[in-house]
Parts: sequence; structure tokens; C-alpha cells
Amino acid sequence: MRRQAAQRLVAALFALLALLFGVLIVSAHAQAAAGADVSESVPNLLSLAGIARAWREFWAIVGPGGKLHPAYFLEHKGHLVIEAALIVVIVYLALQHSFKVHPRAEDPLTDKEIDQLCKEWTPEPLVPTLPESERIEPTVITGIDGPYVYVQGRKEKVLQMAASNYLGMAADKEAKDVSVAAVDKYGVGSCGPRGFYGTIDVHLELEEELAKFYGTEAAIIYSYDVATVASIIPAVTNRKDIIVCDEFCSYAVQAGYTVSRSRLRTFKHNDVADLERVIQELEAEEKAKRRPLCRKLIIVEGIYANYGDLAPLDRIALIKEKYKYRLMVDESHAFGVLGATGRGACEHFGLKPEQVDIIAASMSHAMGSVGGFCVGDRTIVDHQRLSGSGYCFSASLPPYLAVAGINMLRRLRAGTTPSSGGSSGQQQGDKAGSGGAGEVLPKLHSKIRAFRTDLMRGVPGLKLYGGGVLSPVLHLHVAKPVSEAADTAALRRVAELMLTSGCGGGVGGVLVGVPQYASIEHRRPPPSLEIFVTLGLGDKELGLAAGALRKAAKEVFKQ
Amino acid sequence: MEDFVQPPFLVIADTLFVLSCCMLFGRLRDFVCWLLNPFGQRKKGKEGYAHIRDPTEDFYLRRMYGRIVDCWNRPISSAPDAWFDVMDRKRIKEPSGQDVAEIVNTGTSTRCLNLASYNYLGFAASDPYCTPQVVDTIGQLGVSGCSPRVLGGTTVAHTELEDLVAQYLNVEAAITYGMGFATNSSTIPALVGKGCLILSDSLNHSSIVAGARQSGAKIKVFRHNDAKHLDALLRQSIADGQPRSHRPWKKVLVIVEGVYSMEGEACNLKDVVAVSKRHRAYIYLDEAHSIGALGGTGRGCCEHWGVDPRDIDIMMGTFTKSFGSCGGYIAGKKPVIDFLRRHSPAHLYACAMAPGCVKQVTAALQVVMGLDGTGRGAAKVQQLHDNANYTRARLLEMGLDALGSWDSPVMPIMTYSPAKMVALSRELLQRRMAMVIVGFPATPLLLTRSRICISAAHSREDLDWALEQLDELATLCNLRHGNTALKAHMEASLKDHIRRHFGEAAAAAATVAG
Repeated sequence: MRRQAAQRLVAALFALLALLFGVLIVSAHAQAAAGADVSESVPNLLSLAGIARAWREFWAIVGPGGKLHPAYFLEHKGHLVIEAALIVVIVYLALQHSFKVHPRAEDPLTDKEIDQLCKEWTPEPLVPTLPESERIEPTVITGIDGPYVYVQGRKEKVLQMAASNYLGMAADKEAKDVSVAAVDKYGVGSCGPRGFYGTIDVHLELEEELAKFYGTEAAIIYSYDVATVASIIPAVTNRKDIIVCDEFCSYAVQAGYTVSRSRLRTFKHNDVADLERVIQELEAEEKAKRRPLCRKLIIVEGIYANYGDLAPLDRIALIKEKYKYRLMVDESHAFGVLGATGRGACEHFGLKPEQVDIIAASMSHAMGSVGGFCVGDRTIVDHQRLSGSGYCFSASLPPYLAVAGINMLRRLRAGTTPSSGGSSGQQQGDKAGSGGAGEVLPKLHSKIRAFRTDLMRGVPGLKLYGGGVLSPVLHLHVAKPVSEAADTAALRRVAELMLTSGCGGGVGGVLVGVPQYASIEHRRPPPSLEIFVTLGLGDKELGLAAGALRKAAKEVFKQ
Repeated sequence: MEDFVQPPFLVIADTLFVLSCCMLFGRLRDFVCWLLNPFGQRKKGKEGYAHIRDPTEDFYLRRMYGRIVDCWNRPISSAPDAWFDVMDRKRIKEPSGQDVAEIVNTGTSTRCLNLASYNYLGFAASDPYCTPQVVDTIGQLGVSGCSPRVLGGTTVAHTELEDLVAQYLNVEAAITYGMGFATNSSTIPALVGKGCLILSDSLNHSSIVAGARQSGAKIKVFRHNDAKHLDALLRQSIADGQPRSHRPWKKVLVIVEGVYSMEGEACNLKDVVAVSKRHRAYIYLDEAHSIGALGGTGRGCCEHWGVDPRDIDIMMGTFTKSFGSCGGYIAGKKPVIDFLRRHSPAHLYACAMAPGCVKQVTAALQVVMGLDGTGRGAAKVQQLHDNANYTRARLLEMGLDALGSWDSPVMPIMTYSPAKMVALSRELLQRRMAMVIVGFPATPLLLTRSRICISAAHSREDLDWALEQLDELATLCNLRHGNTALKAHMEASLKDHIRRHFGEAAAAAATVAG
């Protein structure tokens, strides 16, 4: 401590000396300049001769031999002034120590006063007390059986429609078998970040498979879904850059742009004209302020997790090309569902992988694993390997989950994902056999269409958001909203009734979710009942679910 | 501890000389490249788009990191146990200055001693008690829940683990998350926000920094492990109130880690708790590296110092390290955990932790707590401490600058010079040992280091063999700095450590050599 203080003192003294020296030189220089003859009359700038004289006088000072010529300046050690100024700056910066406790500049508080203030201060409690209505116990699952689950406290199995296990991979026998084999070989955890011997061969294999699946140069995997997008955004943008984002984007995107501290603009949900307006405004501003070229990013979700509708990617891609913005698409819910080969919303809208700069997705939906990935060209992926905080500073994905992911990708390509469950749900091992993804995905699509069409025919008191779009995420909003709390309570009651009032055929009920949103979210979506359509659900199950939903809704929203 | 690791003058001079040569020649080569081909030599981005990586920032990457990429990201092809298979790689393209060296796997692998993984209690590999339970759980509950905890992702495995964690830590309740990084980065913003103050240790992990930034609270940094500085900062901050408005703070959160991952040093918890209590600040203790590793029964930093866990407001920890799984937990009083269940983003939006991973933690915890009916857990913790103390004492004896507290499984060996760090890493791999090296920007430029992580799975023969190799390398790389101040400090802290755990008599007799 004392040594540091002494060092600072010496530095400060040195700075003072340098400053003094600088001032002396400047004053000497000024004296020399003031000695010039000032008695002559001011030249008349309206006449040619006057201008010529003014120029000559000017040149006599600025030209070679003049007192403002750089040579004169150097000759009279003028550079020392600049050097002294620089030293002062360096010393100033050196004294800016981050550990310094800054006391008040004027009239500092005495120790006694500080003690008194500290004694007087009463902090708020660490957390506010939760109202009783917000304390909810989630349904506890005790077993999984194809599209059905067993829940605690109930004997009969119930339909699982609260999980986004779109292709049934999470409960699939082959997926379980390869996972178990991987646990035997690699253990469960990877015990280290990717950089520090936490890279396991299956991670590399999964990245290779993903790149191959998307036809991109490279892929990178993260170990958690919300950390994926939240790490990618700060890696590719910072304070100087621009993000234009759909107003309905999920929490992961919000967390990402908050950490990146970029300049953020939002556009109206799925409104391409508004997107163009926002971009035009931004471009005009950039031009007016003559800012250098910065990284510009448009962020949308393929299927919006909190609403269940699709982004019009074809039109967004046109705008992106026109204004030279990069496009980032969060394909979490669309991956493995949309498109002819399951590549997601980009494929659905006919975009080629190279038209989208960054594709990110969660591996915890259709893939039936955990984690997230990003595909794109090598520069973008390699950049994340050094700058993606969730990649660099976190332990890597447990190897068995990577193996489950590889298994899913290979089978999606080969078309051997678990076939539709039918009525009993016992055929988990049943394979579609042939035909590739080309057969599995249309089956899923037809189920989504059928269920959506069914619900669009009307559910008492509820309204399906997005109508007939091809999306397996269904959000039912209250048709006549009262207040956030009341609507949430009503929807929760619907979900509870659906779970507990049996729907016949040996099925105890339907498990659906009512999403909750954190108080820290910038913009909370309206309360909704969230239902996922998965491949495992047969016509019978979908019918049962719609029936149970109508019955429960009728009971709650008595009309 | 930082006071003891000032590199010797010659080392500083040498390091700066080497680095400036690197810089100079890098710039020179960049200039020559530009002269030869002013257009297009530098990889151009797409027309009209800004570079993804700032061209001014990537000099370090191209000209320095590009030469030594082979020291990191080495892939393995087996479980990260005491010995593991490191995949062999070879350079197919030397670093061109425009690009980093390109390295490919050769397809073969070498069995190496694992001094790198955070496998403190040796649960990384297949375990006779844990693995069968994990296999059963995958069969019963599937590979993944595919749903957030609040919708359809909560299984019996999750509730069982949360109860067990609370019981293990002797607190009221606990909540678990699927990723350690996200545990910090999503819990801190849920607890504090605008108008709050975060006092963070200067060496806190990146996840804490990310969480603190996201929260919108004012962040102040106190000198590493310095309770006095924390006290001064707290007093001044509370007296001054919020910047500009000078209103009183809503709440103050002090964030410290149990064991600092790059220092191996245990947090000075007793003093930090005393200071925070006096000023009514809340304490957030990140036990990522200390849970399972410190304390007589592996209960972490609190047990190590004899602090009551109920004095800590937020106990955070991860399952990645000691328990050989993934994910993290927050434990504390019931109202706090209930609040997090309702308002923590990772709980509401992220997919639930995979059931298999959950079961692995439960089973490992049962072993550590002795609930499996054997003394295996206690023996593991004991073995870890013995291994760590033995290795640390031997390293100090060799004259290496090994940092860290006694009992802590993390021990950095200071190399100071980046060139030596790289040489050490490559030479170690040649001799079939895997060790982590860390340099700028993760550490200050002159404080690069190599890090050993000790495991209970290491046998004494393994460690003796490793120490023998290190002894040779210490000579080869000229690493014996003979730092007497550090040695004296370690001697004193050893006496203190033994006094607390074994009594006065044993302390008097203890020396580093013994």
C-alpha cells in the first residue's frame, strides 16, 4: 500500500514538473510571437492587392522561417508541450485506480457522520413477499410413456401436452438406449469448459452433424437453451452496434441485447413495413451523424415462443438484403418441425442457409435433448468460440445429451423418428421405417393443422392466437380480458380442470401449461394457455384433448 | 495472496521483451502483407457489412493467440476421470498471420493424467452407486423434459434433489437450474435491480459479472478477498447513497466466491460475513468450486471457516464440479426460494435440467452424505484434502510459486511469462499430463499461470509421478522462483488451518515439508 502511494507521489511530482516546463515553453513562444510589428494598418481585403498582402503576411508567419511553421515550432522545443500534455494524461489515467474509495469532493463526511448514516440505513427485504395466489406448485411427473406421462397423486396416465417434445425423441427407446450407452462410456458430466479439456469427441461430432444438416460451414453447441441466444447476441454486437428486434421476442433475446448494450430498436410484431420504417430512420440517423459502418442485426424468432406464430421470413430477408443488415433467427420451436427436411422456418419460407447469417436454436424441443446450437459461416462460429460467454465460461454439455442430439439428427435425415403414437401410446419403438423426414414431418404438419382447425371452430371464452398458421405452439388467450391476474387465475383453473377431470378411455386428463413471466421482463405477453402438438398424439388423443379443453373452458367461462 | 506473486524483475523484462518482439514483428508482417497486396489480402467481409470481429481487435488473435491455439480446446474421447484419453492433433496449416493455425485430429489418442477437469470427488466416471440410478432414471423419465420447470418439466427427480440439497446445506429450501453459468446470470437480476448496489470481488467469475450487468444495479468492485476494503466501500456507499440522486440504496448485495477458480484461494468468508452483517448487506456466496471440496464433510466454504450457513442469504453452487453432472442450485430461506420459483427467468423459460443429470447429483450427494450406507463419501473428501495438501506442499518445496488455500483442490503454478506457459503446456502433454494454462486476457499480462485441479480419484502414485515430471519441467522451464514471502505466508496459513481443524498441539508441529 505504502509503496503504491509513494509511486503515485513521484508520478504526480513528475507530472507537475513536466507541466511547469510546458507552460514556460508556451509563454516563451508567445513572447517571441508578440514581438512582431503590429503597428501597420490592417490590409483591405476588398482589393486584390490587399488580399495579396494579407496572404504574404500570413505566409511570412506560417511559411518556412515563419513563427507558426512546424520547423520553428520544433526548433523551439514546442513538441515538449505536446509531450508534457501526453504525460499529464498518462499520469491522470494511472491515478484512476478502480479500487479507490471516492470520498465526497467537498465538505466530506466525518467518520462519526458516516457511522450514523450507516446505522440509519434500513435495506429493503431481499425479496418481496409473494402473494398467495402466485405461489403455485407445478405438476410433478413420475414417469413417461410415449405421449403420456404419469403424475404424482394420480393413478391414470395423462396426456402430455405441456412439453415441446415434437418428434417424441425424449421418450423414444432408441434415444434412451444410446444415452445410456453414452453414460456408461463418458459418465454424466463433462467436468470442464470446452477450452479446458471439456471438449469431448461427441461434441465435435454433434457440431459436424449440425453443420452437415444445415449445409453451413460450421456449428457450435451451448450447454443451455436460454444461454444460447443470450450469449450469441453480446458476442456479435456491442455498444457501437445496432439491433432491430421484434417486439414479441422472448426473454433470451431480451437478456442478450441487455448484456450487449447495443442501440436497440423494436418493430411492431411481424410488421415488415414497420421494420422498414425503423431501419430507414436508423439509416438516416447514421448518415446524419456520419457514424462509421457498424454491425447491424435484425433479430426475429422463427416461431415465437410466447405467441406461437411465424415470422414472415421471406419478406424480412428482402429488407435485410436491401439495407445490408445481418439476420438472426431463433429457430428453437421451428427446428425439426417446419420445412421439408425439418430445418425450420427459414426452410419453410424457402430461404437458403446462406441468406440467414445466424441461425440459433434450442436442442430441448424437437431434438429431445438439452442445450442449444448456432449454425452459420466459419467466421461467425469461430468468433463465438472466443467471445460467447456461455460457451467459454461454462461447463460443456453432458456427453450423453450430445449423443442423444446426434441420434436425433441422423434419424431425422434417415426418416426413422418415432412414428405417430396412435391410440395406446405403447409403440414407442415403432419406426416409420422408410421415406426420410419427408414422411414424418408431413404427418406432424397434418396433426398441427387438424388440431388448430378444430380449436378454431371455437372454445368457450378462449381465442386461439395466430389461427391456422403451421405452428405446433398453441397459445389460447382469454377472449374478453379482464386483468392480468384474473385472466391468469381463470386459465390456471382451466388447466387444472383439464388435468383432473378424466377424459375417458383410460386417460386421466390432459397436462397443459399456463406460462408465467418474470417481473423483470421488459414486456410481458398476455396470459395464455400453452398447448404443444407433438407427433406422438394420435387422432384419438387430439380429439380427447380438444374435448377436455372445451369442457374445462365451458365450466370456467360460463356463458 | 496477490501481494506474494510479484514476478521477479528479470522475468518481467524478459516477458515484455518477448511480447514487444511479437508485437513489432506482427505489425511489420502486417505491413509487408499490405505492401504486397494492398487490396484483399485481409479477408474482406461481405460487401457493405461491418466485420463480425473488429479488425483492430483481432491483431492479438491473429499474431499471438494464432500461434498457440493448440494449447486449448484439446478434445478428449473418454470420461474425464483420473486418467483420460486426449485425442492427438496435428497442425495441417501453420498460422499465416491472417488466420490461426489449423489443427485436425489424427484419430488416435493418448492416455494422459488428468490434472485439468473439475472432477474433485471423482464422480466423473461411471460409478457403481450412481450410474445404475442414472440409467434407471433415463428409462423412467426420458432423456429430457423438453419443457420448463413451471410447465411440464418438473419430475420427481427434481423435487427429490431440491430437498436433498437443502438438507445437505442445512438451509430451508433450494432450487436447481440446468446450467451453472445461467444460475448466476439469471438469479442476480431477479434479486436486485435499479436502485440497488452490488459489491463484487474483483476476481469474481464471468457469470456473476454477466448477471450483475444484466440486473441494472450499480456495481462496485472491492479488492480481492479484502474485507477491510469491502468495509470502507460499504460505509462510503451507504453514506453517499445512490450516485447523482443520493437516495438511500434499496438493498446491497455482496457477492463472493467460495474458492476462486484461477487463484485456488478460499474466500475470507468469516470477515466478509462479519462486515456484511454489520452493514446489513445481503451476502451471495458462489460455491461453484468449493461445494463438495472444502470442509470436513464437503459442505463447502461455510464448513471450512465454521460459518453458519443461515448467515448467508444466498448460497449458490454448481453440480458440474464435485458431483460430476451439470447445472447449479440456489439455496437459502424459503421465501427467497419461493420468490425465485416465481420470478427467476431460468426457472420459467429454460428447459428443465435433464432427469439423468438430476439423478447423478442426487446419487452423488447421497454418497457424500453417507446415505448410501457406506463411508465412501467421507473417504472421498478426506482423500481429496490429503491429495491437495500433499501436492501443494511438494510444489512449494520444489520452489514453485503454487497459490491457493490449504484443502483447496485448485492450485495455480505461476509461470509469469506467456512463453513459458506455452512451453510448459506442450511439454506436459508430451509427457502425458493434461494441465490447464491461463493467460491474458483471463489473467493480468504478467501473471499467466498453469493450473492443477486435484481429484479424489488420483492415487498417491499418480501424484508422485506427476510431481516428478513437474520437478524436471521446473528446471527445464526455469520456474523455480524461490519466492520466500509466499512460502512464509503458506507456512503461516498452514498453521492457522491446522489449528482450526486439529487443535493447537498439531499446529505447532506442522511445517510445509512435514
